[in-house]
Amino acid sequence: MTTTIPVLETKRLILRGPEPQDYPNFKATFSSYRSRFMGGPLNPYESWMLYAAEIGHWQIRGYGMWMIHDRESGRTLGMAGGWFPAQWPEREIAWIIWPEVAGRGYALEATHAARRYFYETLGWDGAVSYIDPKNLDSIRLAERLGAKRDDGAATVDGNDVCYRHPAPADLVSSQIADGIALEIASYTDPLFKPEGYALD
Amino acid sequence: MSAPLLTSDNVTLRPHRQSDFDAYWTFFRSPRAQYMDLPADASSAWYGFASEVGSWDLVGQGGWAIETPDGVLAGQIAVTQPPHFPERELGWFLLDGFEGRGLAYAAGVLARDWALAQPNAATLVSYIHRDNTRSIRLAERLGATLDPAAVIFDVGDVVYRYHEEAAA
Repeated sequence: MTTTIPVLETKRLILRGPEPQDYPNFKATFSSYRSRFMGGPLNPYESWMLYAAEIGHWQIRGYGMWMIHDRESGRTLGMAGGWFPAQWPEREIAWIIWPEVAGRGYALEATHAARRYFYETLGWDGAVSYIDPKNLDSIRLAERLGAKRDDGAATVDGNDVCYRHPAPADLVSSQIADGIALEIASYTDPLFKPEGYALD
Repeated sequence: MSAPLLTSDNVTLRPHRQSDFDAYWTFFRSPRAQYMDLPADASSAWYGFASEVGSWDLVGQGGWAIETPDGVLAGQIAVTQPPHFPERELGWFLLDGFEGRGLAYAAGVLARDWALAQPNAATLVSYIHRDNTRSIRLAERLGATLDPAAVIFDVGDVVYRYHEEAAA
């Protein structure tokens, strides 16, 4: 029953299963204020249990959260993937980026690849993201991924908002698909390159 | 790695499946769980459950489902050492209706012998609430002895220590 966790590769990133040596980086973020919208900050036991659960999720569900690595340096940047513990109404696509590397489009690039894997390889017909309404960065990311707020959907515990991702067909040759590809590309090859700064 | 399959005439220890969870969650909300550290809600309970599975990959030990010889889920047993445990622990619970049939003892023998045979030479104890007389009795039947000097993380607990010569 052991699940072999697939490796996903994107332009800048490699997504691998969570491994023991990645734990200190996970613990650093989940012990910090950064994790306040993901049930944190966690104490050492909660942090250890959640990391073991990240790995167990793969074995139990056959999918889960990948550790995001920088392709060049190998360092970890955060996590992205699927999340479906007890009490979750639907399968979730989730993400977290370590605070020191936020703002570089890593979550978009990783989540986009994870969602494509779930849709194209596992045959999911859709997914949601449950987001704290105060977590504006994640709400913006959900919207950049084409997800729309679904107030009619069940939530985890009433303190979160459900964002519903586009169905697989809506991500083929569509404006949203092109927009995501364009934005991801712009992180390595910006559309607008400043050629200098005006000096007064 | 996943949990190794361990069997004897009286019991089977096997890796967890998602279908085990509902029975465990029912257990945690019942009086039978009165001596355990209780999860706050179903998702916390599931994280604990999933961590018993993922623990095998992370540290080479973790939890098993206890099954009767005819394949009915009867409880859980685990060899584990989360950060707040001073030593490696053998812990267990039986679901309602499975007590008194020797299942916990048979499971304890398999898990204890597995743990003591591991090459890491780590110690093995059970942290048991001092009022949990049934589990204290079981630890004693498994050859563990009360260690009043052992470090505890919960002042309500007593510590029972397993000895290699007890495993045969």
